[in-house]
Amino acid sequence: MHQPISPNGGELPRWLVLVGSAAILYHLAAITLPILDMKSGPWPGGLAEAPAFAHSLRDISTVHGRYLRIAHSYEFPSNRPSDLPGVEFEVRLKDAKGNVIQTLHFPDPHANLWVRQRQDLLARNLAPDQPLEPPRAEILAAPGQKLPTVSFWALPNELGPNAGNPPVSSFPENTPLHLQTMEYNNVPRYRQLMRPTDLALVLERSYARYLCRKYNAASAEVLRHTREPVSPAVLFGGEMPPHALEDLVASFGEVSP
Amino acid sequence: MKKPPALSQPETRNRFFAAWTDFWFTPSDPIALSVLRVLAGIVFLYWLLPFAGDLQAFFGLGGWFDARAYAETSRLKELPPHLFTWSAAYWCGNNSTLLIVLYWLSLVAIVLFALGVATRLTSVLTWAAVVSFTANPAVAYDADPFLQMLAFYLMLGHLFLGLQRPGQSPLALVLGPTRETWILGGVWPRRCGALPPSIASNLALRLLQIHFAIAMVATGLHKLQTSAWWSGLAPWFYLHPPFHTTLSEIRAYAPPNAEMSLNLYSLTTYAVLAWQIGFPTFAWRPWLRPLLLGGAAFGWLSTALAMQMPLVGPVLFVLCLAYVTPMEWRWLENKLAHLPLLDRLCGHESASPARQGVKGGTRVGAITVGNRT
Repeated sequence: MHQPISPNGGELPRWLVLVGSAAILYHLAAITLPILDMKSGPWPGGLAEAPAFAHSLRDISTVHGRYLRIAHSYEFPSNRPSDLPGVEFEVRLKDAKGNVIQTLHFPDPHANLWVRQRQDLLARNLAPDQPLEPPRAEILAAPGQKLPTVSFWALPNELGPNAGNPPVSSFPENTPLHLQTMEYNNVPRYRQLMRPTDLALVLERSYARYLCRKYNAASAEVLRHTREPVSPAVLFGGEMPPHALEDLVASFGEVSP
Repeated sequence: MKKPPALSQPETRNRFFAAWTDFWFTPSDPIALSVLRVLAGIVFLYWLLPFAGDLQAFFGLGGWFDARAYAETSRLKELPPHLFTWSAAYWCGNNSTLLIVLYWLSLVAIVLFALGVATRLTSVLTWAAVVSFTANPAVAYDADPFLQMLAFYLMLGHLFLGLQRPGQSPLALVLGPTRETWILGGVWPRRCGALPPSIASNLALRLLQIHFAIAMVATGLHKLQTSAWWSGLAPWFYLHPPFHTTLSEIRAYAPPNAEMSLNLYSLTTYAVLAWQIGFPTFAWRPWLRPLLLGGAAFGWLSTALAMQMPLVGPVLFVLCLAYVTPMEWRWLENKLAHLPLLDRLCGHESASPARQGVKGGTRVGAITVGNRT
């Protein structure tokens, strides 16, 4: 076997080369597996599962991912520009009586470039939404436990006393959606429901609490404005779709610190 | 034409092992690691300094992502594991004074590391700082994994750099070879020596090179999962963010401008894809250096101007510089030595390993694996 030269002029011991080579191979496996252990797509049939071998070997990357923090999938949301809506949000800070005392807009056009960019990152994390699959069969609660609940976007009063039926009244355009939480069994099936991701909900509540503390507000309501990506139809001689540059407003509801 | 004689199986195996050991374990001139350390230090400061005015908001447990949010996320499924692990900032809790102390100590560690002071210690502190201040899910950013990658391999290289030197005091063993890594060594050449060729330097850079090449290919392949990249329209979406695009801007694309724009966008898209997916085919070839660095510079400009991501470009550019060989850096050093003012900084060339005729130098203009050309 070829022996490399050490800095001191002698040959590196063979055992050291072998141990070093084994460590290198382990390291390369640990940084490659998280890349492979990702769902791919969307394909025509939806997202495809990660290869089984990569999923079953994922524990190899635990130290690199959790402690050394160098194992990453290198899948970035910014690689999907046509799937990501533009997101901005406003926060209505309220006093104890529920009166709006201040309205803040994010990303704040008056903030410095760096803070504004981080606010922009925060805003992007509030979208996109994901479809909510209705239950295929009725779920029974375990003894002593409550039935699971789920939050999704709904029109105001859409799910009032007539829950489960299509809305009987129409709403004016730009009526904000609001976040409706109900037991999973009661999720309506007459239309495709969308819901924010769990991480978006955590982020929204956390940021609202932070603003309440900062501005001494009793509560805060976060309203998300999303706008679909600008269609490139004009490049192909088409027209801009109607409402292309209009916002969809959705209220996450009030949060108290 | 005469064919070369076919190699027997043991010969092929020996060749493979020789190439493997040369690639990973050949001692090399540490100048490449040192240059990367200085440039990485500048990037780390560029990333971390702007947080100075909002430390509690960004990193405190009463900030944008508070303690309750961490508790809530711990109950969620399918979260990116790299985000919810550890951070020195967690120890500070809601104590803003502690957080300020931690932040400024981190900055001092990064500055000292970039300057080459006590690199065995400051490299670890720099890595810990980078990992700690990229742990907030509220402001997670595409550049973060690359910052962590850079900090980790620089730490690895500097942990072992100069470790084998005989006759070191216990303090020198802990702190590392400051005299040789001190960036201003050329100004006081009598106080500074030169580090001999180092396996640690070569190994750290090789690992960084391989890891970054894997990341580039993975990112490129991920892009191929989206229609915007296949259709060549990705730049359109980056250049026309929904909240900053007006109808009149869009209507300006009406024919005959549309066709030219379409060609330009698709050409750019496929050039980016080819650069990323084909990255390993040119990154190690010195004669294709303009392609490597030109692509990195283009990426810097486009991520900063079109995607409003000011940090991704500089990090990727520095990572691409990890492929520049020690001999190329020495060549540049000699060129810079003739410039006014810089001649003093480069003043210790007589002591450089390349001048001493030691191994580790690589020839410019040839494919190089370790010492092999």
